[in-house]
Amino acid sequence: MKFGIFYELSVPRPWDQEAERTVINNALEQVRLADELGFDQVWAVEHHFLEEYSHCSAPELFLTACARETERIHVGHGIVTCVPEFNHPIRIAERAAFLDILSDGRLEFGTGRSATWVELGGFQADLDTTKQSWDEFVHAIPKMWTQERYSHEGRFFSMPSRAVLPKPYQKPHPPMWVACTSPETHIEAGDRGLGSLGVSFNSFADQENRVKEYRHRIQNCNPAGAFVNDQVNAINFLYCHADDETGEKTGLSMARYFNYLAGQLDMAKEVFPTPAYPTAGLLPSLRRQVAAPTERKSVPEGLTVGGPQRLVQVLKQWETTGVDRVTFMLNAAEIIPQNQVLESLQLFADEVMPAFAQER
Amino acid sequence: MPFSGSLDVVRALGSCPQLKSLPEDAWNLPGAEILQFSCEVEEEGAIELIPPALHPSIPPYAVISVAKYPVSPVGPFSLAQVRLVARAGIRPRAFLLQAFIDSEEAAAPLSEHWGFKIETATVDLAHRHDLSQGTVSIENSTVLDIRLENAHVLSGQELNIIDGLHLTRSEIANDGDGLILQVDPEYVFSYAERGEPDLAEWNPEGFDSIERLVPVYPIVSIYARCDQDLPVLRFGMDPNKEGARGSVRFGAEI
Repeated sequence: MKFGIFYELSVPRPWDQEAERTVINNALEQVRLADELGFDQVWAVEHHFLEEYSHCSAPELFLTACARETERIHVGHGIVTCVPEFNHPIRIAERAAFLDILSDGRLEFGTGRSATWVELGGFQADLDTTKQSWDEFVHAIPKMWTQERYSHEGRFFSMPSRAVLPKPYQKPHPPMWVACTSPETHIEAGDRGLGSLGVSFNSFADQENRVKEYRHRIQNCNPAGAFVNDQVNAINFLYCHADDETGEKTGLSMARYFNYLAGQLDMAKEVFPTPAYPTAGLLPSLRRQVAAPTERKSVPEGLTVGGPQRLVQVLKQWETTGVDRVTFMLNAAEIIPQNQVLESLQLFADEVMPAFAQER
Repeated sequence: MPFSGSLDVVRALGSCPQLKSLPEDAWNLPGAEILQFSCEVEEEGAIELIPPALHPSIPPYAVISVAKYPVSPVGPFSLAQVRLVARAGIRPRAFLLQAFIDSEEAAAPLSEHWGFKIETATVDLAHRHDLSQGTVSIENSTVLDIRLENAHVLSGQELNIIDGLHLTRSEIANDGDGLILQVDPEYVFSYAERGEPDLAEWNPEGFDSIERLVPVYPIVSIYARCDQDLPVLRFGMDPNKEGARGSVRFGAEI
């Protein structure tokens, strides 16, 4: 079992001159410490227009800063929105390759297609075809990286023969992933030989079923890239404190606040009816959690907040579901002071990580 | 923290319906036809149209619908509604700004029991293969004209009609300081279309609850045939208290 960290870069109002800079600099400080402590991946999302929830619109720049200030931790560019109105695939390939070089071959390349109306509507994307454009992009981009020159005639983009440069430092190319919010995307990840980047909060039983199906499908996959990445990441919140009750209370506050911000977003399907989004994605589960009675004090199943011993127990259960790595959100809208976030990371590394050291 | 609405509730209540009682029974409305137009609206005016209990959606958008109900306990009627989508806590809800109806017999119970803020008007819905059109007019002057063009058929499963919230004057709860009713009909769709949206006419002058609503970016139009109900009401909320803190379950301790 490995551990990573994950950033949305939530910025609370009021947005004075320092607000965004503070959040980004705090995150960079956390990444530096995480690198020293043995966390092996840092992921940053691509989101646009998501007020307070995520100001991470240029993750490749944030991750470049992360890469240049660290030595070992891999930088997860994910997910990159593979929708033509957001990103041209040539530019995706170029930026990712550049980041792989600047990080000395530490890039993890995540893909996806966006699911909120504010983003898809903001770019005036065609909601009916985002799955197809994602599919076309994830097959084309690794060829841009591995072929000296590449040409393409497709539905969403075409190009005459050109050398897409630079080429990634990792050979044949960086590991590829896809964001998975529903059982269907786990299957699609498996079929294409892509790593499963869990971005939804599932029960243990649900997660175990998804991992099983993924492992089954990937054995007979037709890889989109030059090799199969069969890793499964799950996402979670992290707040670790010596006092169990303090850890749970603070961690729950963070999780609930983040979910409340997430709950303000209209999923694409809620605004624009389309079969291209068969599920509402991440939000229904978040809404259930936030809508729980306010007097409920117990920590939901699988949430990694509390004292070290509790976190060891919870993560051992995560391990049994078959996931390879849990990536953690460390804060939301800065509701936990920076020094406490750093202390939480340190305590986790001191008292929780050793319980998983053999596997790492 | 997300923004909250800034509607002057005391002032708004002056033109809201007086709730006489909650409905004792649901109305079944079989064979309904609904045309719904969605559109992003200007933010500045929108936030002043919803009460402090609600967060504006991001971005703010309105849904305007025209529906025909051939069968109801009070006979056939057509109903148009102008709603602004918001959040009660984190739940999407469509706050009713203004409704129009072509039946006096239906207007009274809809206002008195379900809290529809409603005006009598000529309300028409026409569905053709190349164009669906819904209009509201008063004394030969068109208030609104919504359209769906270049339709293609969808599964009814894809449709999402957001539950409504109606601001009322009421003694039922909240000490008579206003009560928002949650009106959450059930729909069983038998046919659905999605198409290009067009707001061919929008003349809200004279209706203070909608004249500050400025449509800016059409999203989509849908047309559906369905069986619908007007349900017994289960939940209400204080217009001045956010989300769960102000919620009321009817029949339970407030």
